[in-house]
Amino acid sequence: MRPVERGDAPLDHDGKPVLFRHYRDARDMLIQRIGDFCSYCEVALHSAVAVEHVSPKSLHPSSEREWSNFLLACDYCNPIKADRDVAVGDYFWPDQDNTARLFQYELDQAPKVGHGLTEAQHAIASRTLELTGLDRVPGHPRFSGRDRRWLKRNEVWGIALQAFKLLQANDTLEMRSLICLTAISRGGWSIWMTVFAQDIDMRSRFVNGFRGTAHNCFDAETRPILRAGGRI
Amino acid sequence: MRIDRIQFENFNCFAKREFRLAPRFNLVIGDNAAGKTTVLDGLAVGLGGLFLGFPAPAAARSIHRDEVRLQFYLHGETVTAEPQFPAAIHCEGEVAGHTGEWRRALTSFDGRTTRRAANWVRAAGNRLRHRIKAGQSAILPLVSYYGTGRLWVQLRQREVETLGPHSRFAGYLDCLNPASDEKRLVAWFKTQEIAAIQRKRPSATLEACRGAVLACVPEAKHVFFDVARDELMLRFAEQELPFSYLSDGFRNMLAIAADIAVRCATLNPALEADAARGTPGVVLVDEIDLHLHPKWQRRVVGDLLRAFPNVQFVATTHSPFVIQSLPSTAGVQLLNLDDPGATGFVNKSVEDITEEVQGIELPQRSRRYQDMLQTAKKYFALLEDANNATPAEKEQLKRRLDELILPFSDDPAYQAFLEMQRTAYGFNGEGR
Repeated sequence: MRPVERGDAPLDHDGKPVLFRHYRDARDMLIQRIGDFCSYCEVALHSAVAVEHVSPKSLHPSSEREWSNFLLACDYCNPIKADRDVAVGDYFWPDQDNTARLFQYELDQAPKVGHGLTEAQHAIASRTLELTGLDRVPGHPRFSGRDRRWLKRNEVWGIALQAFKLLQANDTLEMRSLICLTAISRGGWSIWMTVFAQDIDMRSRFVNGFRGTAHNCFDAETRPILRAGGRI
Repeated sequence: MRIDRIQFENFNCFAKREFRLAPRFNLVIGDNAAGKTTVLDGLAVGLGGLFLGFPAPAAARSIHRDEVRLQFYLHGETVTAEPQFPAAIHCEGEVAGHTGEWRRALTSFDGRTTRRAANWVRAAGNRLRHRIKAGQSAILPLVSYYGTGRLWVQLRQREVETLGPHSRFAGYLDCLNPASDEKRLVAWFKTQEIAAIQRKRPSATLEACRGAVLACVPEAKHVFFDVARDELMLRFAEQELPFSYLSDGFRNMLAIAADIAVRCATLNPALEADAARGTPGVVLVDEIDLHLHPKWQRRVVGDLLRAFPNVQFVATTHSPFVIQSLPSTAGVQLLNLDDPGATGFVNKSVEDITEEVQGIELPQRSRRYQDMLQTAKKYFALLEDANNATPAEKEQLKRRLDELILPFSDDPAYQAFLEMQRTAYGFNGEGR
């Protein structure tokens, strides 16, 4: 799960934080800051994007139009998370924690909680995975037939592996930047980071190329590090 | 007038059921016999409460005996049906800027629908009546119900009559009767057209009604009463057609829009050109997609909302096109009687709405889709069980899955990629 930097609330012409008349109005600003991707499953959203409330608007009306409560979510993650009254501390959040450290990604599979976490971190990471049903694939008891996230993931895996092969055969700067553009138009940041795990140049291209990736989550070799102010 | 909440008790199929209504458009969906028309009938009873304080032809709608819910009991081999009392409709809503609650109930088989608990709405009606009687300004709310019996197919009359001056309350004539009468509608157009000719200047009221009708009938350029032909006519780019020649879809939509507009103008003549836009009220439409082509089904909700911006609509439908067309704005909601929690309809394809909102599996998609999901399930199980599966097995299943995924990817680039892989593996498009 890509860690992101949402930044401070955008300012209006008078230099005051923008007051959103409706939370949907924040959509374009959010895309500008953190890219056109689902904050949870990482799929590129193109047009099917919804402004997502970390604390649900139905239960916390006061934060309905609060910039710091906004992320972007796809048509699958958003309804699964729905109106669950999340205690923010029970989960890791891509805008607060280094969520690049939570999960491991393997060919075609749903993300799994990674190794090297403490027991407490492991529990929080599992809850985070379950919050938007990222672990649901055909065969999972709560998998719904309309959930296409696994298909999208398969697509990204297929293309990322193909890109990897192409780069081995023809390692040029042009190929590298073309691969990064393909990755951005597809989404699935973590999969690209996994496929190119040994290629620091490609990894930093992904960190820099995907808009709003939190830079303070990585060292010079693009290894994930403890996020300042975060819990992991 | 607006209804915010309605509660049913022993009314038709509802033992106890409550709905909250949105202020602009409520689209009621559900299986046959789920109670869609019952929702509208109950609303008609509730809205009719206002008429307790109004003079004729406004007529309150009572609860009919055959609307009392029956409880069936089995005694050995004999089934008995026992009516359940009280049968009641409880409403919470707004009349002339004030909000209140009222209830109408039938407590016994030979009784009459009680009005005692409807004092609030009756008093609101009375206040309006006194102001109108004294010729004072007051906005009368529109109330109108269009049932599936709205055929508007009356045989052509020999001669269209004209209307003399009438009371504003004439705007409530038969308004809660779900069957419709086009006679008065056509007579109104004739009277207005002639009056405008005589005054030698256009009538703002007539033009406003025309505007509202044209907003709801796509491609029509003009609607008018042709005095020489003695018929209501609709003009299109290519031709003019009399009302009686129109297809069911056109006649139905034209008549609903015109009926609403004419009632607005009759109830609030002082609003003149703003009658359609300024009159508040509640309109009930059963099967709003009736006779309409899917293209038209897609726009009917938006057209009505624009033409009558102060009216609250409650409509039923079976059409995924209408569901899909609901704008995701405030004041608009989907009421799914089968699944009250299901509200998502925005940005979904008609196939998805049919499957997920209306609960019907699409055969052409489902069989293949189920097949693909089954293969995917096996594949994921195999991935989990890495120790017992050989790479060759995994590879084989992966290929089979890719082949099945092909038609379901909505991404042409990825489809091309899969095709390429297949060619590389030595498949030649067989078994597709």
